[in-house]
Amino acid sequence: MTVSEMAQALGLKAVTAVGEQQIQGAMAADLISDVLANGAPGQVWLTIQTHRNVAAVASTQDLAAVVITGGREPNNDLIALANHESVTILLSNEDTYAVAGRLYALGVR
Amino acid sequence: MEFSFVQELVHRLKTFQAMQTDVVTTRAEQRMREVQALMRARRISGVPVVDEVGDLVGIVTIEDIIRALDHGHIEEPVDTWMTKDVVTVRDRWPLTESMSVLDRTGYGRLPVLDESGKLVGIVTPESILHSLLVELNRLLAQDEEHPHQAVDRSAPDGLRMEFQVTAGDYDSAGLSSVRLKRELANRGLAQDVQRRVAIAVYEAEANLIIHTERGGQILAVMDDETIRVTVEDDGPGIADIDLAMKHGWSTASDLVRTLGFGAGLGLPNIRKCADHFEIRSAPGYGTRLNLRFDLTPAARGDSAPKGPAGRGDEAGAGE
Repeated sequence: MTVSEMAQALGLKAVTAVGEQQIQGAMAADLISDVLANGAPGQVWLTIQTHRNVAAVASTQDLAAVVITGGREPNNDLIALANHESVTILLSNEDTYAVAGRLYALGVR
Repeated sequence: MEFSFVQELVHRLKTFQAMQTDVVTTRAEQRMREVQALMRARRISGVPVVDEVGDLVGIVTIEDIIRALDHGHIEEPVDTWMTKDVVTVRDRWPLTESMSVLDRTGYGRLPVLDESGKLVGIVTPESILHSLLVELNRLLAQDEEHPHQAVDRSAPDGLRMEFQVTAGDYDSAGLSSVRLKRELANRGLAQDVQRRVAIAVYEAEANLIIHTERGGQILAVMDDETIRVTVEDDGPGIADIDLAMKHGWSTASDLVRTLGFGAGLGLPNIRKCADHFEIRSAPGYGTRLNLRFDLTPAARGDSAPKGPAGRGDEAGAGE
């Protein structure tokens, strides 16, 4: 499944350009250090963090996309850096647990 | 040639790196006779005099002892015979500065004070020579490990990037690593190496932002065979490195944790990413990380496709 297919299937709102990259797994984490230590390229990252570091981490780890959950709004710094680094940022009104469950049901393992 | 190399070494060192820290001191109320005995026993030519909180109040030199003896006052307290106008140097001064004070005054030993005026050490020609030998040994060990480094410091495809990181600037964490990673990607390095370097630099950046008093520097130098990353700050230093290397151990504040940092994964993660990891730290003076990433032919991207698949397809990507 690609990032844009996932965005459509889960009804996610895009605040950056949406990539066509293939998704290779996912992780749910709110600790920056956890993603730096345990993330992998191609993953979708579910988080409630909304500061600029999110884009920096996603770029560092070559993640496929970031889904900010719980109806939180990212700040402008984050969107600017995400656009600059070609990081896809998507928003969900559902909480991390629900988004993770639906992703799992869609076959993202 | 050799001379300029030693000069370069001296320029790099700070005074605290060349001082002797186990200093014999005395108090103003001691007798001159006791100090004389102390100097004879320890074979030293000057004893700093400190007050009850460790502040320097004077120094007793051989000349002071001789003057007191001459006048028959050797049983009197240090207070009346010590030199009160003491020439001192500061721990954070470049070593060159302290050496020129030694040279100018002709003294054989100079007390070293920290920012608050506390006595923290003594520099002598011997302690300076010792520090130079230690530094030389360290550099020689590095060159033996990677002999090409000595001759080839600027390979044609070389890269040198330096970043200043500001303490407390949480929002900017990751910006240095993102910039460095882009440069590595532009040079066609394999994704795995790009990531490992970027992750290590990100963690180091976060450490400088979270833990230091005045931020620090990150220097990344790439040649044909390695990427070397040096991270340096000037305090506060790590009291227990073994503990800091443990998973989950952290001294970070609650604010820092709310932002998602301070989980105590940083240093272990850096060690995991680098092919060679070295940490040196002294409480009160700072921390230095030396990291090395080896560039195998595969890592250099000689056969692998450049960059992660699919990322070039993204609409509206880039600047």
